Amino acid sequence: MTGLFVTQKDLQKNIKFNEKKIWWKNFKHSIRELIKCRTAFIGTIIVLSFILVAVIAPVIAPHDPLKASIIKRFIPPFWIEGGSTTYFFGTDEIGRDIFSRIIYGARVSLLVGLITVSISGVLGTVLGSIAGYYGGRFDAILSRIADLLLSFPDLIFAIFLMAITGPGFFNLILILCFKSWVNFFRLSRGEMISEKTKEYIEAAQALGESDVQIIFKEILPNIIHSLLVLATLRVGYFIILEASLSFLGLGIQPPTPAWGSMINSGRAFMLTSWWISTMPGIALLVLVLSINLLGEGLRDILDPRLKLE
Amino acid sequence: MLKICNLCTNFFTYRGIVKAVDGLSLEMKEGEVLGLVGESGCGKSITLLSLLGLVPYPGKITGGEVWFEEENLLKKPTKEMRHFRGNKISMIFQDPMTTLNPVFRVGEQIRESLNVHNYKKISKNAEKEKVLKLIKDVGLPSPEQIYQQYPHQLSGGMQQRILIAIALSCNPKIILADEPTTALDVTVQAQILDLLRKINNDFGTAIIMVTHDLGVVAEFCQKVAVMYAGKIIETGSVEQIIFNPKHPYTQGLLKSIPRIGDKKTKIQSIPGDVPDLAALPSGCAFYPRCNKSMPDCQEGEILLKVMEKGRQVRCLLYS
Repeated sequence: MTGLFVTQKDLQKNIKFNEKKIWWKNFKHSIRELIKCRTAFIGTIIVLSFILVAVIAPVIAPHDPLKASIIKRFIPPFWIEGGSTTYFFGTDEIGRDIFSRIIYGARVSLLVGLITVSISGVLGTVLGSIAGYYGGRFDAILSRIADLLLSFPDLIFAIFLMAITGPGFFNLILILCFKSWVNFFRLSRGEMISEKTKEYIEAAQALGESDVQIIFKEILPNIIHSLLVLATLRVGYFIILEASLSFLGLGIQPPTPAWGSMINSGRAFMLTSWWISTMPGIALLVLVLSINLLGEGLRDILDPRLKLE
Repeated sequence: MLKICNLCTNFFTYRGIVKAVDGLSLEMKEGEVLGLVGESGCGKSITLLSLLGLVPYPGKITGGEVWFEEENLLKKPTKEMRHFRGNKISMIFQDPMTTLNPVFRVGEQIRESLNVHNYKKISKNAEKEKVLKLIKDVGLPSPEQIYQQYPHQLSGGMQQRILIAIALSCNPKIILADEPTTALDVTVQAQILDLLRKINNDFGTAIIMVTHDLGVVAEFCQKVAVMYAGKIIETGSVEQIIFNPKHPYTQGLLKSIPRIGDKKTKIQSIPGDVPDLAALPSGCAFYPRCNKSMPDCQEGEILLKVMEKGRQVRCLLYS
């Protein structure tokens, strides 16, 4: 670049090189930021390993999670007398391996959490963005619906709807989404209202951009960080909600292994074989806790206002 | 090229109808530089936004015509209007710090403005070259580096240059500049004015410059229109307005500028405030503050009176 004559080719090469370098630099910077925030880093590692375990469940599960055996009932975990490492966390009341069932149960939990958040997140964000940008009657009607839905407690509302529609995986997701778009709606609507008065929106209008372009290309990238944090925290919340419904027998139906129904099935044997309920409970605790840690960390990283200290 | 006839923009507020722009007429030829001068709140910026059809709620254009290249812009549906915004008529805003989208690189934002009006698709590389050329055109060093930077990494003057690059990107016929130098310090102001003048010379782009700085007007514009309470009260060439102001308001404005080297004369201010646009007095809106007021000033509509060549004044003193 120091030569007197710079050809267009040189220029292009240089740009491409820069672009790559800057992208890599930014990526490295984000990773470093994540590692610096220790809680977020721990959360990320645990959540990622849970996801990995759920994806490759058939490979790592030592036993068939559905295979029952009358002889091998109530085997305790390996560190208690009578237990063996063949059945890592012991077996349940009909002789199924709890460790394998927890691994398969992670699939259900994560799937429900992620699918629900994606559907309700996209729905709520789109509706909230449009309502916030245009205001008027559309906004008023949707906001009242949102207020109405928010006034019901989540679990009771879900129980009510599950009782009407009947249990099942898709019904469960449908019902969780039915109410949960409201949180995304309210957040994106509020952010949109505060963002749309800024001057760069006026400039975009003067440039001839259409409303759709302004909402999704100009404003959304500016508010995506808070939506991302909300989405992360919501995943944990939905996993708990799913477990609660499964515990009550309204969510995932046996024999499909789900943590909620596993906790429920061990309830009767709590005094003699405590591990049947406790092991899936601990798995639930660890997963949701690390999701929350990840969410909190993301908020610290993404929100520059909190960084000032 | 651009002809505004009797433009009226009203704001329908709870306190009543505010006539922000009231019967404004202007004419511009290709390559002309027009200064629109007036106090805060006299309707300068709303005039510009009206041209683009972007009057904010609760405002509405209630009458008049805007002729641009034989087409009436006010009659256009929104979709067609978008072809004009940023393409044939583009705008530069007052505060460059807030006008750029903070989450996108500068280069992408310039490219975006090309994309919006891209009728004939050009390749990504060609686009990038064009953006780099634009950055160079507005006098910024090392375009490749600036292309990659975020708005907050640039100074105010650089940001304003980027905004000018965005405004230039589609080779507009007119640039509407809404106080482009107000948020900048004086040395940068001069640079930006030089840049705009260069653009005017090189590309033949007409510029409407809204400002309340008569120094900028004297230096930069060819024609001046002085606005007061939504109306044009005096128009003419720069020399006519600066050296021989006719309307008492223009005279007052010019007297309120400090002059270097002049130690004796006190700076005079115009007494009173800008009138409430929702409750304008009948007759001349400047009447309550005018030092040459006559009883007749309060009665009836006062019309723009043609004085000499290209000179108009709205005052009873000259009728």
